[in-house]
Amino acid sequence: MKILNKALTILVMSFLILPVVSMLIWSFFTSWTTESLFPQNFSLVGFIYFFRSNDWIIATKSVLFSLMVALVSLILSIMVSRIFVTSNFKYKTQLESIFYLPMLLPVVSICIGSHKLFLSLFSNMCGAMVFVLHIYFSLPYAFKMVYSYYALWGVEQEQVARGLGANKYQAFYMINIPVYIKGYVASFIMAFIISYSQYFINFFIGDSNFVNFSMIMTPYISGSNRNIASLYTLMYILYGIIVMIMCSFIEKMYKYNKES
Amino acid sequence: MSFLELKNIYYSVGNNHILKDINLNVEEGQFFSILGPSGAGKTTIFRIITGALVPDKGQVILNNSIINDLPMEKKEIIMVHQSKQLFPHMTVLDNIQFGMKVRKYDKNSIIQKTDDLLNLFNMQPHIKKYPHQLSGGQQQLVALMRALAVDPKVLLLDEPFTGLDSSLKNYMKSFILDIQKRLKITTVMITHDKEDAFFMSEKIAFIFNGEIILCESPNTLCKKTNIEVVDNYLGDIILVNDGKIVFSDKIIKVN
Repeated sequence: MKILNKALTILVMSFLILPVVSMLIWSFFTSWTTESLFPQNFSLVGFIYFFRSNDWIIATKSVLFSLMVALVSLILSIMVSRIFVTSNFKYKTQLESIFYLPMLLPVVSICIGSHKLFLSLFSNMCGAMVFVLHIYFSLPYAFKMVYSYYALWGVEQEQVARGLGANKYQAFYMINIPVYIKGYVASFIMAFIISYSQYFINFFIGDSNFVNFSMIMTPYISGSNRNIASLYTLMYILYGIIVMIMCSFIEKMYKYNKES
Repeated sequence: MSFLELKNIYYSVGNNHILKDINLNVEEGQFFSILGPSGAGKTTIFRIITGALVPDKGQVILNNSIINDLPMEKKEIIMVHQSKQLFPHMTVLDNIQFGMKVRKYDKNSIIQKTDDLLNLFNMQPHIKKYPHQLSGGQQQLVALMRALAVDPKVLLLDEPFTGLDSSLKNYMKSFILDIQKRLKITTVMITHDKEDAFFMSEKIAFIFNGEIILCESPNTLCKKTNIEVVDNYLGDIILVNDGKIVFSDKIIKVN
């Protein structure tokens, strides 16, 4: 059984690691023909191109933009979830059907042309509209995750804290955040990933006025320049990983502070 | 004279009337119970008293002041929840001191009060533990200590013995009663368990379908009330003597 376990682990890990290793090799070489065991033509041209062009700035801006989108989505999700959990009102069930929008939104918005509507209505506010549309796509997912946490755990602990004398801000900061931090981080990461990987939204709404990293990366991936395509894909993954590490660092740091 | 009073409280969700014209009077230092089956509206009453829910109509009066609109943190009423609700990221010590810290008690009185409570509840060895490392009974004690640490005017106990085994439950009942008498704290307990209510309370309100059917002392409730729903719920109770009553085949002492 142990051998089988190990073999399975190696197999799974290889599925994850091999493509990255392949891309890593391709980032430093411009050719690797089928009949050759090793790649040929070591070159840093991909890196030079990435850092000398504005692409690294676009990549960084994309990350910051998606971080903002994720933050706003998270804040909105928390606010709406709290209302849903603490209040009973007419048409609550109907409103809850919004939960199913994540499955429909991407397809429907393109089919009904809502992106074009946004474009025609606010053509002079391109950046803001892209921001709104990124939230439009990422919010349902973020909301669903946060709401699941709230539905499971409720807000009783905050109410206990308030009964003990904490005002609503203290109750939120000292009790809600540490208790819900895992849900918040998961929701934030989900919103970030959705925003970060949006190609269509930027392409349709932003056009060339609002370029993000996935837009500049796509032509290279669909083209034949594997050196640059691999490097850009690696950079794309790297930025994502940095954000994930930051998130888990914040999560751990917060818990450490509270526990100490 | 009433210390805590509920006056004509109504609460509904849509067309579902959860509470209908609730009137209760609890005297200072009294141990009062609200007894009734699950879903009768007991916890909703507590949530209205603490301010977690806003009633459609009616007043909550504490010591002659209407407290409906007071923020939760100013009400001086603390609820110990059924599920204990200890803060999972804090140690026992932090849980106990939480209320005192946010109320900005001075450091010496926090230490003094904490020591007193730890000695009273005999919980000194557990101060560095987290809630998940405690048993159900210990969690209940910590929740109680945390509530008592801030000297509330009224203590609300929501089904405090849920999930405890019978020997621990008996111990906890006597212990809570002893603490309540010693600190003379006005206490309201909700329970669906008639034995708990009769054992601990000086007065019992019976709630059914969101309405208070009657409010009497345990001794009075031993006689048939001629209210079908109450008599059916309580079953055969016989007052023996010296404050002892018989529930079916069990003898318990009335508070």
